Amino acid sequence: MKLRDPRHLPAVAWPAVLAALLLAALAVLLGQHAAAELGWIGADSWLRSARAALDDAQPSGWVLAGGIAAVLLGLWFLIAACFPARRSHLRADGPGDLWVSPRVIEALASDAAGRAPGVLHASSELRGRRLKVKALLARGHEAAVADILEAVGERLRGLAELEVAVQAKEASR
Amino acid sequence: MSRPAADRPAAAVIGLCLLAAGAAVIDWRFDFTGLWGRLDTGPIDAVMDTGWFPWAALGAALLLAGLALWWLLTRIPYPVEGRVALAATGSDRIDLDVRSVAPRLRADLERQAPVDRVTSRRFELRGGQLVRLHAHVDPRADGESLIKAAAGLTESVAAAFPDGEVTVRVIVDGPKRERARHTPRVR
Repeated sequence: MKLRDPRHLPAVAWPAVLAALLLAALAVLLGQHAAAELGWIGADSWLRSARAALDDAQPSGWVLAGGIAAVLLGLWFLIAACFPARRSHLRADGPGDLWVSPRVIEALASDAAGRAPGVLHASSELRGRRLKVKALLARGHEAAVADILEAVGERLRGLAELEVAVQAKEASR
Repeated sequence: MSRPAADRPAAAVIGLCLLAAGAAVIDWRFDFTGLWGRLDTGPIDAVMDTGWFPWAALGAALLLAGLALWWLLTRIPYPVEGRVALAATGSDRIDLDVRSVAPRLRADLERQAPVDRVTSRRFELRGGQLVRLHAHVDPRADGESLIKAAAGLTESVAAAFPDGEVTVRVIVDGPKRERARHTPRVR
């Protein structure tokens, strides 16, 4: 096995399970036809019943519903097959094989920003390589933004190359 | 769930087949193209009435059932054997049970890095084994201590297994939420 980056479950994982079950259902249909035609079971072949239904001028309501479901399922399968599994963790610097999730970056950044002087509350959000830190500042601490930037940069050093943006709001009272 | 490489192309092919089948049924109902009126079912009957068709159906059923079963089973993670062969000289050979190494690595990581709830899983990798440690970070941690701990762990494993029979990877996830604490009910 080759060592791969940690990844999320791909979008196609559940469609693939469903597709395998559909293949199994097709196998049951063909197997029942063979068993019925070869006289192993006393029932009529389902495949012959389906073939006889093709002579109708219009499909029954159930067949139409099945057709619409098949179109929707087919679209879902095709769209899911287009997307490869996304990478779930970021590779940290250093000789160790360390991977951290975006949640780690956000938690560390929020904690670092929250401990900066004059910050009442802080939260962060990582999108791609852009880390947005939202901070609520106590009155008269407008200069805390520089402290937040420094504290976050210090705390995350070596984990990932990020572009940090701070959005600060002063508490009204 | 593991991810078979066949998932994407196979799902695309089956998706196309489903789309074609669904489109045929919708055309049958609404007659957009008029193909359904010209459909001649005679050859289909001729093939279905031949002596070989039930046997062919049986063969196809077995093949499809095997394929479906294989496709479902490949996504079940299989247990990895514990032993790896260490470099041997002459007729002597030493096998190491990696299951005995993993708890030590978990304890080391928990002690050296600001993380908790460390779990481990083993994977086969190029003849050796990879121990993947999975942990939840303490929000008060800093990047440097995590990097240092992972580097120390990699270094100690590399020193113990210089030929790379065992390697380690550290995966750190966000802090685990503490369960809501309930105050004891006083009557």
